[in-house]
Amino acid sequence: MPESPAKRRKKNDKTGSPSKGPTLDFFFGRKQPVPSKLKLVSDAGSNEGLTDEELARKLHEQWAKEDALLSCRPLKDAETGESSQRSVSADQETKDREFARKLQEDEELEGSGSGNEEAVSFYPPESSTKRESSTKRESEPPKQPAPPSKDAKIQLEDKPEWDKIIDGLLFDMDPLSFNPEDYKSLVESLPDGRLSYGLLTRAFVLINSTRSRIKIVDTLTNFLRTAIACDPASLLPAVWLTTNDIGPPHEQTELGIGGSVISKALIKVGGLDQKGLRTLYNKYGDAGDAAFEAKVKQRTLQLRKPVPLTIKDVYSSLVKISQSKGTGSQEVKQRIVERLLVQSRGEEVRYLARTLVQHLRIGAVKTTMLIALSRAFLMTHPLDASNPAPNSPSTLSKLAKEAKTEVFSAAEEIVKACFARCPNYNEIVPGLLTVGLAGLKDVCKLTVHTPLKPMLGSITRDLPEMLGRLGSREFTAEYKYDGQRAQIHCDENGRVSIFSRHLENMTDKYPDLVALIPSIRGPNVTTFIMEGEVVAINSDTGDLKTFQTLASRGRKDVTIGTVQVNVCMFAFDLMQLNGEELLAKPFRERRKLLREEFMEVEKRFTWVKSLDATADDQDAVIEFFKGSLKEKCEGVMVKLLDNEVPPGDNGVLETDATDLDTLVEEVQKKSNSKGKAPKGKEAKKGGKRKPLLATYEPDKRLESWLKVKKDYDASTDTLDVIPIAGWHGMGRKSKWWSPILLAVRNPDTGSLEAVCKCMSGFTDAFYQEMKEKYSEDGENTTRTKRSYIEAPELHPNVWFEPQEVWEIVFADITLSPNYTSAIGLVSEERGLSLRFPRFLRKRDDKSIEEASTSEDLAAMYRKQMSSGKPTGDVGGDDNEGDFED
Amino acid sequence: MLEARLEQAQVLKKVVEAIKDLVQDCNFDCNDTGIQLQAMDNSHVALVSMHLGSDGFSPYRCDRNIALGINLNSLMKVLRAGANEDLLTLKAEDQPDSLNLVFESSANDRVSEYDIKLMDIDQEHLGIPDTEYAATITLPSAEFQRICRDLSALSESVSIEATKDGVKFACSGDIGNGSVSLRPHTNVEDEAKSNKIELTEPVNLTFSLKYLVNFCKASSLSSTVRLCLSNEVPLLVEYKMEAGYLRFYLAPKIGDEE
Repeated sequence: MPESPAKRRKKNDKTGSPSKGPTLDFFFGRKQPVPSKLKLVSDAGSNEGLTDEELARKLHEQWAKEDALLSCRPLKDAETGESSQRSVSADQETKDREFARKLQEDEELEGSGSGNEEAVSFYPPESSTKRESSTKRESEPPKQPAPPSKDAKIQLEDKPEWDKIIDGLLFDMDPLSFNPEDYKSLVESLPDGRLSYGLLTRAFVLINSTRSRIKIVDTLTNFLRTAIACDPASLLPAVWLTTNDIGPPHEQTELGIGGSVISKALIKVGGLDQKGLRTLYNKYGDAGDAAFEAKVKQRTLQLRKPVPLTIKDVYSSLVKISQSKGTGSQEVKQRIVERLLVQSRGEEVRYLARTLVQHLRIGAVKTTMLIALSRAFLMTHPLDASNPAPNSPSTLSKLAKEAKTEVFSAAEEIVKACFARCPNYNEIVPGLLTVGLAGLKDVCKLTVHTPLKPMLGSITRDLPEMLGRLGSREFTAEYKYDGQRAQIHCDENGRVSIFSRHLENMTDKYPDLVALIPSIRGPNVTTFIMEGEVVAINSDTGDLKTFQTLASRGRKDVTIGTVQVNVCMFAFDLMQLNGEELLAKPFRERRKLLREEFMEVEKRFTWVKSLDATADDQDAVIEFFKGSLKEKCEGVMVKLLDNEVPPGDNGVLETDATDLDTLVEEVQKKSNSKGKAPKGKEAKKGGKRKPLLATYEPDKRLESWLKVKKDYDASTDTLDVIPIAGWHGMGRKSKWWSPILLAVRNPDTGSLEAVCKCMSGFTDAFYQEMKEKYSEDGENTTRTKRSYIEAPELHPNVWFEPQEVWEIVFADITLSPNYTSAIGLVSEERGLSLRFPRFLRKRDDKSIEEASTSEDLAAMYRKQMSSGKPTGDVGGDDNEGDFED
Repeated sequence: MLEARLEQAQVLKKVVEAIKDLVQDCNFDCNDTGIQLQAMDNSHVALVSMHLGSDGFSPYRCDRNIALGINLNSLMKVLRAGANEDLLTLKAEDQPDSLNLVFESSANDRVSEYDIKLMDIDQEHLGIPDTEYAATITLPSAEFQRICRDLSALSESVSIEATKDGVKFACSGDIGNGSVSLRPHTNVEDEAKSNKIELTEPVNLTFSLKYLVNFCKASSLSSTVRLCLSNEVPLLVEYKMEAGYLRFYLAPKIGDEE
């Protein structure tokens, strides 16, 4: 890259206007003479042409406003420590004032001297004030930020005014009393009027400081509203940054930076070495915290006032990182990461690093984002939008509590339903900005090559219960194959995309399926979206193979020639045909279209085996279910066929699912009802509990689809294993050991053979207890592996002294190339391991001599193989079809 | 038009060698006083400032101010092609697209010529005034290099404490701690081997050893190095050359006293 021969313009991060010049490129003054004191001060204090005094006044106003808003609320965030940064010790103040004076003297001296060379000074580097304040934190009562005195200006030029305001932002207040307009002047004072990353970080800090879902949603809602009102263009990047993604899963936008890029950048920026960073990382167990520590420890040189990172800037940098491919891309990525880290300050560093390692840890998951978006757009709309005026917070606050909840949930449903159809913020957010909640459903439609969220099945434990629930309604029972659920999209040009149930694009993984599509398309078919199960199959005999066989297929760059494991697609649903959305049609109709318009190909493409029945055909259904288990299926899926309920139905399947139009109406109505709560209430409850429909409801787990699996609790075997080692936990579990390496006993050799890592089923209290028992460098742990432990290729942080027995459950036993337990008993090359192990209880009554043996494990494996199908489903987790074991 | 001839190619070679790990691309600003360079490292922790005065060249001609935007790695590749003792002539047009380098070996009449493509680097040139430092320490550059290297084996940062008694470089790391103290000392035979300390007030600052070790690559430029420290101001590490200097500025770290 640097050797590029072309003479080119080296891009600096300049934004055009000199007053908004590059952030940190120089710490020495510019060439032009600075004629007066005033110039210096304003240069340092603001870049929108305000003098300090003006700025101080503005701040004062700002804070006064906040005061007024908050007079009745205790200031929660003061404890977070951020706000205390505003306070600077008098000592520091004097020092800085002196320093400032010196600066000016130098300046004048130089200015009058040569005339073209400017005085140079080193500003007190970053975080000097922070250090002061951290020692004062205890004594400083958490109260409203004191408007800074005029003199105190210069000392803080490394922490710009807006940063201080941002640190005091109260995003976590009740959205109904939050007015995003209050922040307009703040946003306008930021460079280019763009929302700064600090603002987003502030929201993250607040979200992180609470465990209350309500507070989290409130904070996010308020932040989004600020974006909508003040800088709509930053909304989409902010949404992506909050969800810790760059794009939708099917577009495969991955940062593609390993820990090494980030740690290299941190080492550079933080001025520490590999070892120092490792120490920090081990101490905090989180990249963000380590980065924060590292960066704050190293001061940087700067003369010019730093320009804050904007949300757009951060997001577009991430996009750039994800797009740089090929040779030299690592270097490019590294540079971008460095630049971001250099430009970020304080808390920004923490969240930036977390964003880069793709683990934001703010507990704002997808649902939270959708809820926050719906509420934000309910209350605020962009200035220039043509969509109907939203409910003003004041209107909403007049509504009765239930009515308010209804309006909120109706709005939520709209956004969620649209997101299920079109799970891509790149469509949803612009849609919301232009047409608002009401028009969203017209914008976010089912689109070929954009996967929709699959509909999910509820779990029932046994057949009789299931039959009871269905009443007299007709249903079909389908084999639930042990494969991978797949959505196949095809457009009129025959281009095919295949998506996993997690919406990842796996077209490249199944070139054989892609090649198959032309032969299954009927003559009338142009475009379609269908769904089915991809199952490994013996292409000679047609026998189905296990999920493990399927999982052994290559994941990337598979070419037809190299396919070893043949697959068959068992189609079961059709969501779109020839451009027409079929989601609202009953299942019988969708299935009819599927079977009429497409053609089977032997051992390659067929329909799921099914049986249409009613509850009266109990025996037939039971036979069918048994048949499914014989064929190594996981069980059956039972699906309603029709929307209509036959007369005299006594079934109990009901729903409150409503269609989008009703929801939109509801929201509209509410906004016009102007506080007449009772009326709103009626409108909502008007006979909504209607029978369950046979429609396709993306991303919903309804009882119109019932998953029937072989009972799990009663018949499952458990293993008694010995914990032998642990790793440092990540994220939330960083203080504890997680995962834990478990072993079975080999009575012949006396050794303990590692069988799996386990990280579920533990309570926090248990983790704590475990950490105390096996404390690092304590008497129950060692750094080196004992010779009698067989755990090849495993490098836990610490080895436990084997001494207790835990009972665990698991989904099934698999042959493993990594673990060597029971090697030679079942297979000569492979050991056995467990899928989805989960901790049940400690067996204090057992000594390690009584733990399960490798022979026990092998016996269980043989039993599992002979019984046809492993019993899946750990504790209702919907894990099947996942490769992320 | 720039035309500047160095008696010994190694001067430029050593300078570039010393800074190329800190800075990738930078402008060589040429005017009638000589050639200067100023650049900050990526992480904005250190700044390099170099001056090669016109009297270090013979002849030296620069009619107009010219900024030569150069990738230092590319420049290094070319400089490595010349021998240390070669005569090196730098040539550039007034609006240059490339920099011409000619190496002449007087020993065997070998002449090699290279052109490096230039790039536009958006950089302003800044003046740096002489600052009054609280402590100025002059010591043999080899000594400084050794201290940095030895201590960097133990820790990532070093505290430099200057008092009236002397200067103490101290560090502590996982494996233990260490310190090197130097007292003012005059070597009558060889001035360059003396340790000199001028002090107006005691200073104690902590710096990243990684950077200091990096700076020490310039040790071959000069037999002595000057360290200047003041609180709340970056450290200045200066290597004087025959006709110019190479200076490094380094931002302190927050000490571990918290």
